[in-house]
Amino acid sequence: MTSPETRRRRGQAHIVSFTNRPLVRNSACAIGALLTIVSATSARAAEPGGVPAEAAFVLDAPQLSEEPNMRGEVDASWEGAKRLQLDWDFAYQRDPRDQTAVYVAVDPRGIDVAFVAQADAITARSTRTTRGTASTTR
Amino acid sequence: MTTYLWPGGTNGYRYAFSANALGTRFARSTVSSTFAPDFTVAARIRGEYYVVTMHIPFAVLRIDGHGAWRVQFGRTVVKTRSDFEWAHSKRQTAVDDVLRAGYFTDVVSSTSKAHRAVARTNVPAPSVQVDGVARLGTLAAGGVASRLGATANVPITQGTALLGTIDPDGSGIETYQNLIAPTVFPLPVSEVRPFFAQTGALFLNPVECILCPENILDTTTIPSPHDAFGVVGKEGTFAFSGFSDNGIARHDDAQIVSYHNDARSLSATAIRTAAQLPGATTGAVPTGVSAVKLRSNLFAYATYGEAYGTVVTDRSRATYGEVGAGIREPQTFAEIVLRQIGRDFIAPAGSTVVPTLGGSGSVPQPVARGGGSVSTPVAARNGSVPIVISGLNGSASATDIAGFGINVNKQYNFSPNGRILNVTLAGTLERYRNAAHARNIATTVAQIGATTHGNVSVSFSSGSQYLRVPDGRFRPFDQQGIGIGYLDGTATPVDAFYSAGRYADGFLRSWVRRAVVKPTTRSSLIAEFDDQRYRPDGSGVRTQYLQRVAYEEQFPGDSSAVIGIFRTAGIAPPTLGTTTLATTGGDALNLDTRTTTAAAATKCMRRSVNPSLLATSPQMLLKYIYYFGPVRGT
Repeated sequence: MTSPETRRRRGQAHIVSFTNRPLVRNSACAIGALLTIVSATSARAAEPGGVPAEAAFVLDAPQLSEEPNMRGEVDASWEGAKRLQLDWDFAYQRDPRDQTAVYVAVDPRGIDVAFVAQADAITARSTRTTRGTASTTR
Repeated sequence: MTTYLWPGGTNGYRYAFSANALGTRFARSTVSSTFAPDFTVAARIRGEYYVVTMHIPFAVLRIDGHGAWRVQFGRTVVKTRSDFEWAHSKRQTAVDDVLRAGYFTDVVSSTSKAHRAVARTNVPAPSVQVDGVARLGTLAAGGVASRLGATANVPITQGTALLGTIDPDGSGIETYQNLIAPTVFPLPVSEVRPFFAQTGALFLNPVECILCPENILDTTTIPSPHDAFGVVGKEGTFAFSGFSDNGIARHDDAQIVSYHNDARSLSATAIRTAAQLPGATTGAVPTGVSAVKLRSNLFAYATYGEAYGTVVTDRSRATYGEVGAGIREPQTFAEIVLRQIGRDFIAPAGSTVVPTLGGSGSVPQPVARGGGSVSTPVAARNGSVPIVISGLNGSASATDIAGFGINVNKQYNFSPNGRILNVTLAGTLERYRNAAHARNIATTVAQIGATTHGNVSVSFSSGSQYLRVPDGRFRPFDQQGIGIGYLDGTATPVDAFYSAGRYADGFLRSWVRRAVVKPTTRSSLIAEFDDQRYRPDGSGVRTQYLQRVAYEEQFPGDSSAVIGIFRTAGIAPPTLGTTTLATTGGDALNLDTRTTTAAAATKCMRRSVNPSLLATSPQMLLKYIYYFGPVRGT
């Protein structure tokens, strides 16, 4: 990120009461009017939190009684998880070259996800996170 | 592999939890730029496939009982520049396009006793971060000193929190590593003070903008205050933030309110920033509205603002206005903007710069991706390697402009099995005049880049760029460039850039050479050797060098250490936008070490010397952070 320049100009003191500035009043009125219009418009939109009838990708969270094993494998503790497929390559706008299955479940304490990825050559190198600290690797 | 979650729906906070085949994990969230929660990841490689398992605790998410969540699952294959995904749509603009993400229903089950407890706990627990910094140095470095500070986050609803801070650390120690050992995953923002990381997040890109010149609020320019108080939150379709701080002979305050309708096709934002310094007051009030036609990804926007205060000597020249329109699709964007920025429009703790696109500089990254796509040719990632030794490849401060800009970018993705994976074409045209109707910015740049199946990337850029310098002349700052890279976008890139062209009152040639290798699974060796050779007209060559070598090692238990040598030497070329020749050079050598240890609720960093300074006296900084309650930005 480029460091910004800070300019200071000395001149006659110009004390302004912020709330009395015409620009602020006009801006507030304009924003208020815009929001009123938009709110009226959005009232006809889908109710927040609802799933549109035409939605193509809907996942009903399967509930597990306890957290499945986190050992880098999908074992019997993952029974009941919902299986999905990553079946689209966004970059090339086509079917993916490699298969990837995703198992998703919810337990009492959180969300559990397992990715099973086919790869003819695994070239993972990064062991450092954005914060510069090591990650858990088991 | 990445799991994207929006527990609050399309207008809620966004979370991304990622991990690779080695179990390396990282997370991001719009809750805070310092979001670094504890979540479990384990990975295992088994022949021709691998498994990554992750557990995301409810405790690190803001769950507001909103109803259906939005969710997406993705896998990035760097070797082929592929992005596999679960939910997809023809109008999708990115893998994490929330409008085209899937729906995740009944996540918090009404029949589960434990989940009912989660649902009842509508307000997250408060958190307090106490940090202490100690400096041990020579008398020239300030001797021995220490300070203690604290930052508190007190949620009052699921989406809103009150924040306060006393004597926050402003050393920026967390950011130093990027100077010594830059990583392929640099910190996305420079602000690491928790208070400003949260209250300032909404001010980053607050309004729609093309070839954006205006940074309304950059909290990194605000010196660490003695105390500050603020509020930040999302409630329904509104997001807001505000803070007020008191420093030494300085007071800053800022407010922002942003609205998005549920379909995110309409938005409006109002901002106010102000600063009071001895003998001066400044303020700015920009307001923006934008609209997107979802079916076609066409967009349009308008922004207007005024500055006020003692810095304004002519109110008629203290305005900022622009209108823009364009189209954004996954691999294509085209946009045009008409813009006017008055001479006296100065946002406190902000900046007004016009991005200049010189030779070895940036291929505009697809706006739809917000930049950072692994498909972007190597030249676009040049900015991830900070060029410390000059302002080249950056931007020039420019107010008092009126004119237009056009920006186009087209990426062709062929096949993950082909010899050439993708080709990107980009072009930028900008023409601005000042209040005296004299041309002061003229940019014409064309760029092309390609990535091969063997992970080799090449890029070329050519164009002219003229700026009106302080003495009134209109001078070129051209840099025709070529770049080549191998394994760009991975943790072990090797690349080189060369650029040359007429520059100010002379000719400039620049080289950037960088390599990262991994001697072991948990270590990295980084080397970079750059030089800039500037020949003023009628004079001899002046050269400036940047050299750095660093080694870092990771240890079990979330600990790491890095040691690096960083040297700059020689005479710098004129700063971008000026023709002033430096009369003296320098030769500065820094030895820097850093260790980081993170336990369950603590974090400890030690480093010697401040690598952001060209010359320092020997010193050691020790920072210790203890968290009460949720840790690290959650």
